[in-house]
Amino acid sequence: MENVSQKTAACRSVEGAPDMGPVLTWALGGAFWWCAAALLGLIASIKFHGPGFLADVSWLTYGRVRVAATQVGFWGAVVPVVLAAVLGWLGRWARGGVAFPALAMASGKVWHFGTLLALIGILRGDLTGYDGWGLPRYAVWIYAAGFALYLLTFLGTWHGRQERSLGPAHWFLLTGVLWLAWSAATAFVLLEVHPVRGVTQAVVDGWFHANATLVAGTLLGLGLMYGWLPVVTGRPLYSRHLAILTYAGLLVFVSWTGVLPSSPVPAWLPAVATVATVMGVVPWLAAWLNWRKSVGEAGHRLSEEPAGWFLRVAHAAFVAAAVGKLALHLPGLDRVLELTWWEPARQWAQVQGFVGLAGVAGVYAWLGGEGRLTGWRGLGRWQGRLAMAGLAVGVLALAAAGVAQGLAWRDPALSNVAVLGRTLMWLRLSTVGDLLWWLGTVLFVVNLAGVTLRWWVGCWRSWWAQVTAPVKLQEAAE
Amino acid sequence: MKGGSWVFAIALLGLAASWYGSVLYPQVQLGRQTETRTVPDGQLYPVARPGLAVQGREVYRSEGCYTCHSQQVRQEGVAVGLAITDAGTNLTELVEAILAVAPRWERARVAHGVTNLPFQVLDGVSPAEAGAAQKQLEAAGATAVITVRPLGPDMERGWGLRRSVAVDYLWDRPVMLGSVRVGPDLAGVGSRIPDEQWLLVHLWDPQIHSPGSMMPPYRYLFEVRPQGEGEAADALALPEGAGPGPGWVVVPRPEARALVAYLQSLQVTASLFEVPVVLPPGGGTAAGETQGQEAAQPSQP
Repeated sequence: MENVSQKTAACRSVEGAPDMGPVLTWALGGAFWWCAAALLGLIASIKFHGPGFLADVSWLTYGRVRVAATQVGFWGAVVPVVLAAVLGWLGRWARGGVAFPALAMASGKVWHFGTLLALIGILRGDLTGYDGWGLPRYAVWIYAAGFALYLLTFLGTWHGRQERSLGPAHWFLLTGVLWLAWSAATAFVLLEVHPVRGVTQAVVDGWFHANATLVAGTLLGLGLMYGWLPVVTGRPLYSRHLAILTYAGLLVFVSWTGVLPSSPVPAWLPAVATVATVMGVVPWLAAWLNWRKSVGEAGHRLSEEPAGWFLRVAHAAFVAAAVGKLALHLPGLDRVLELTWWEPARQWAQVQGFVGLAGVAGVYAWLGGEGRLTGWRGLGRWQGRLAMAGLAVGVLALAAAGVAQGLAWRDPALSNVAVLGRTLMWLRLSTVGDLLWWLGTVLFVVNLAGVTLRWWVGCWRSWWAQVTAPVKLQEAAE
Repeated sequence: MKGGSWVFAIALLGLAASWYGSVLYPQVQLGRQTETRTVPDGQLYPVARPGLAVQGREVYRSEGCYTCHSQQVRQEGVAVGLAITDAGTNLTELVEAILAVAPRWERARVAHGVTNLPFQVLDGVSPAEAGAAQKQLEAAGATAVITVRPLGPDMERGWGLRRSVAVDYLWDRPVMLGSVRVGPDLAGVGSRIPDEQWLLVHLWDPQIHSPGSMMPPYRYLFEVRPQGEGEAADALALPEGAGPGPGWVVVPRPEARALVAYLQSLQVTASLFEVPVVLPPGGGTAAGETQGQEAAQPSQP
């Protein structure tokens, strides 16, 4: 009898929060697709060791695998993990946890099904041809349905928050979620449904890419940082004014940065993008300063928690991506770095490193805050080490490849193969980064799967304890 | 939150401005763009791609070729110059006139140049200098044209005669500009490598023409048939040891032919008002030395 009540009590603590299912549905699925995307990235990278690797299988040719890794990595992995962390954070401060939990779980499942369709579609050749917007049309409709359901539970949870006043994390997260949807809708309509003519397609694609990753992505990443950092360090955000400066600067300046300097478009577009990128230094510096002051002397607390680790790595990736973007638009340097591996390096730092790891930090902070990570901290630490090492090796190697490639392309005396030869060493080194990164994502899946399994077992035990508990004498008499 | 409405007003304005300026206005500016005329010959440009090339564009998209190849030629300036296209009858006077406008030339090389036309007399001068020199040479009985030669590593590599501009992509959907040049730019590959067989063999095995290349072989775009089966004329002429073995031939599938047709249709050669290219007919020679654009270099894809 005593044993049963203990189990029931334990399970209630597991079951207690209604947001366990929704957050884990989004996060575990995202982690799984992250692992798949990282594996595809690894396969693409291995092709630089031997171009014949899997070349006879049309589904696994370099072009398709690279696009699948990028698209699934963003839409299938980073976005759902971030949305899970957002939901967890909102649920933590809401009166009844996450609103409409069943709807939230359904939305996560629909979203992951969309990812499955997108992956299959891309590998069988349904590529869009655009560098930023790469989702097959049919997958977009599924994603849209999943997002609509998510938005209901997001807004319901938002409405149920205990503290009515809004903080920086609220503005960042709300704007990030809505702007991500708006930029994707714009790209879908103007590139797929009613396609615009000629090079305007490239302009729309560039705008979408900058707004989805640099604006919405940064808003979501910083929103999660500003939301979870006080929980992890026990210190409030240093300055709301710096947060406002970051927020406004991102929207006013960074949203214009989608056109690269030498794009074949009217000259005013690259000129505006370059000016906007230079002005983007203002919000980036404000965000860096706010982080630095917020962490202050509590830096050691970041080292104690897996969430803190990931927050720190995400912030480093944010700084690296911002510097990378600025370099891409600086007159003179742009001629060297544009159309080289510098851009994939920057995207890796921005999308996977900054936004993605901010999401991972959010998920771990949510799990840790609720005491659900017991027993899994070690794996979390190893995941952190692998992610940090993979990110550093991968991004630095690709950036070095970009510089070497850019300088080599400027020398017309070098043949195309000779130019490739100068970058190969770095590209092959980046495979090590890809491998470490993939191992990190494997641990992430194992970690979340373990937590989910424990939760399921807890639920089952709780249910079992209830149905097998002896009927009380009073109930029997009735 | 104090000032919350202001924060969201800024957000709305900022994002609306970005959407208007980066999406809507470019559509207003470029969305109604129509064909233009080449200069100076006034041909309609661009012409829609042939049907097979349009099918090939789908293969290019489906295989993700744009992940390794860009389609945008960059330019860093122009070199204005002067070339003689007709020497007239008084060569002695012309040589003296050339030595007057271009004192750096040796008399013997100028004498050789006026008999091997076209002769690039000046290169990298200002338009005013070129105009003044043109008058002097025409006074000596020659016909001289002011040349405009786009400059930059892309041009020196022969990737195009000039930079790519918006109108080049007028009929393309999707526009596949690419973002990384793992391999060479393909915006002008059709004029650089017009040979269909070369392109097909390169797709079958890139190592044949470009040893050391990291481009994967696209063998599934081809069919390996027993010799004598089907049309032998379609079979690739592969070097010894590069084929499937004796008794077998490699025949391109329709997808491979379409892809090659698309590659052949990619050209950046038209001289337009916004990107003029004026080169002496047949390419200029500076006293017997080849100048200007090189011809196709199939060994450098």
